[in-house]
Amino acid sequence: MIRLTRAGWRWPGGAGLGPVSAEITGRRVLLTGASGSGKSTLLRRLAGGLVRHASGEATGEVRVGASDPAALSPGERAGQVGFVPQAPADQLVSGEVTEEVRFGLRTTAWPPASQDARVAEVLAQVGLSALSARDPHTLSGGQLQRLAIAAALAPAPSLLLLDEPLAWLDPEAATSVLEVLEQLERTVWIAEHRIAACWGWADTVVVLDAGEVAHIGPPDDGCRRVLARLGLELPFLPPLPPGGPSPTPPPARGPLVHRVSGLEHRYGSIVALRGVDLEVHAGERVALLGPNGAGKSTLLAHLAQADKALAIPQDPDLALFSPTVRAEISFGPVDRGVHFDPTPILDALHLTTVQHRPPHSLSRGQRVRVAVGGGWACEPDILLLDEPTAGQDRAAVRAMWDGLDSFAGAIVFATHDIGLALRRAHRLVVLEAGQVRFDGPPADFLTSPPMELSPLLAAIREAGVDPTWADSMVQEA
Amino acid sequence: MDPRTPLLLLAAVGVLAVLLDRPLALGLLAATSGAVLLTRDIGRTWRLRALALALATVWSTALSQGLFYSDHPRVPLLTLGPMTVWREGVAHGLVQSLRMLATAFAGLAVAASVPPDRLLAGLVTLRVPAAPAFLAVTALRFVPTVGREWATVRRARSARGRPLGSLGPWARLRAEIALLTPVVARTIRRARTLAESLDARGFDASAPRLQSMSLSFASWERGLLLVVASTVLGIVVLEGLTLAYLWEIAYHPSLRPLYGVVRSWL
Repeated sequence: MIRLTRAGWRWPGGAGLGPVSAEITGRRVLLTGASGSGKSTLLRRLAGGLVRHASGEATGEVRVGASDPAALSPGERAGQVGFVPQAPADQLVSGEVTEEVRFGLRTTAWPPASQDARVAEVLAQVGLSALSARDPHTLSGGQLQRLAIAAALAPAPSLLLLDEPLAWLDPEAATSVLEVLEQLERTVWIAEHRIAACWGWADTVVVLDAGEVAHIGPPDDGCRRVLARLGLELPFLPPLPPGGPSPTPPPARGPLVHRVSGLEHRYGSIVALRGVDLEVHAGERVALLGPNGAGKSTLLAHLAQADKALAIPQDPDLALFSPTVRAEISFGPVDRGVHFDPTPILDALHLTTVQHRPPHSLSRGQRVRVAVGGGWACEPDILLLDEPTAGQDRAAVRAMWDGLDSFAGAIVFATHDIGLALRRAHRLVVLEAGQVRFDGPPADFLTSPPMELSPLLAAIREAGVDPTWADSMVQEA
Repeated sequence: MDPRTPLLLLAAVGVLAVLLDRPLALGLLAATSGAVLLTRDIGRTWRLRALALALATVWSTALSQGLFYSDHPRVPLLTLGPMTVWREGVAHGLVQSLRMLATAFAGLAVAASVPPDRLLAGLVTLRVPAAPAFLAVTALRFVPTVGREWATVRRARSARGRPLGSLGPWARLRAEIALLTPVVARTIRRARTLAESLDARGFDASAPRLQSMSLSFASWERGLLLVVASTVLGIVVLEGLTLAYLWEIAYHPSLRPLYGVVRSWL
């Protein structure tokens, strides 16, 4: 059991968490809330490292079982509380999967004679036994996340905390991670924006709002109402209404701005794209869907070579090099000697209030919008976005896409967020194993004749989704 | 291969790079290190970069030393208006650049040959303190990642602004400095994530407990290390005897051939 008694945290800037008082007995806990609501802070307070290493002020008391994790040494703490931060690729310390798992056994002085058996046991739990000799850098996103979980599990903690473990995963990989977590015989907390993906997994949902607990309870209608009131992502579960799907109708097609036909691409012996045909028309919003490794990023890289196409890197931070947001958005035209007023773009992307701040001091959602605004200012015919919504809450996603409504060019975006694709795209292009399996409007995707698709895409198509449902729930609330 | 073998060979190259003074000997040492590096699985691009690094280092060091050499006697090699390139300066620059290249190539070859966790085990077994050894190996691990991010930043800038090559020298310098911002910001974020993960997995920087894996030398490694250690020791003795003679500490007529070897070849 986890007991919080007026537990809080104040960052030097003022924002923070709580004070929060609660007793949470759930075994599978989904912790959610808007960006800045205090999810990561609460998770780190439970993990104990925040009090020891961060500059801020802790108040109240946290108890995991009988002990306060912050009072323990790192070695003792790792045996009680496992914590997996975001970005598993940034956490690797070894050149082999087994050694990555063994790291936590070494640092916690696990008996050397039983280390091999413990590593094998943990790898079996996360389904990575067959990859035990691999270099972790060669693993897929889902495999890396499972490895990070295994590394945290190795010292046998009774509580496992994960910060946005699904943020960069395709639906299948996300499902595989959740299946692993479901089978663990210990308490697991997940901080996530992808509420729909975790809805069936969680037995308890903790919703935070501006550092306060807005709701604690099972994933039920009461919880949905709280999520709707706070404008968070909703689990989209109902079947299609009798009249069929009602996605946004596509606009009249603009002129053709780019065409690829019969596109092939190989990485050594691996075929990344085979016989891909794609047309992009002015003003279109085209979503590229498909599992990791399907060829989405490779296709984007090819499209980026088109005249007047501009790609925003998957990590938006790598496109931000100006001293202020205003200068960043103006950079392209100004560098080419063109007078430019960024005000309309700042307004459209809700960045006016932060226009004089350094881009890297903003939240992730804001940084993505700055990077997109910088591309928009160059007035490309096609703006290419790779996973533009990963790790963002629904309000941030909505702010960006509402703003982009006034962008006249075409947008091609690769995403794992099927809800976003159904709501915002005029066309879905579904890639699998380097081939286009579907190219058409969202309504056709939901109703077209059966075709072979990845299990999750197929399940969603079979279940049917009314893309206006989530929005209408929010409006009703 | 036992990770201590390349580490000890790297140490031997470092010692020789300090001891040797003749361009030919240093050239051989740098060429050997470079040849080992080229046999590693580093890809064509990095091979070309290593070659470019070698040429740029030798050229820039030799030229700068040739221009600013102030000791006497000195012989002019080339005079261009008010500037003179001195022969002794060029030779001095060549020696210094070869010292740098020999150690840099050997270090890169070690980094490219040994997985980081084995490198760490090797360092810890060689009695390097665990915390700094872990720090150094972890930093080394992220060098390729930072390189890829640096390339992404440059591509992102080029997609929006003028090509960097079209800028004047000062504008280019300012642009290059500005491009460091995202790389540094990303590196700091990554370092924070890694630190959190290490802390959560029980790593205590004030009292690191990193049990090393069991390591053992193969017989060929023992033989190779014996040959290298004997060579280094021999050169140390020769250089020591020669220095004793030059500093008028000790001299023996029977050692004159050895003094000659050191002066001509080492």
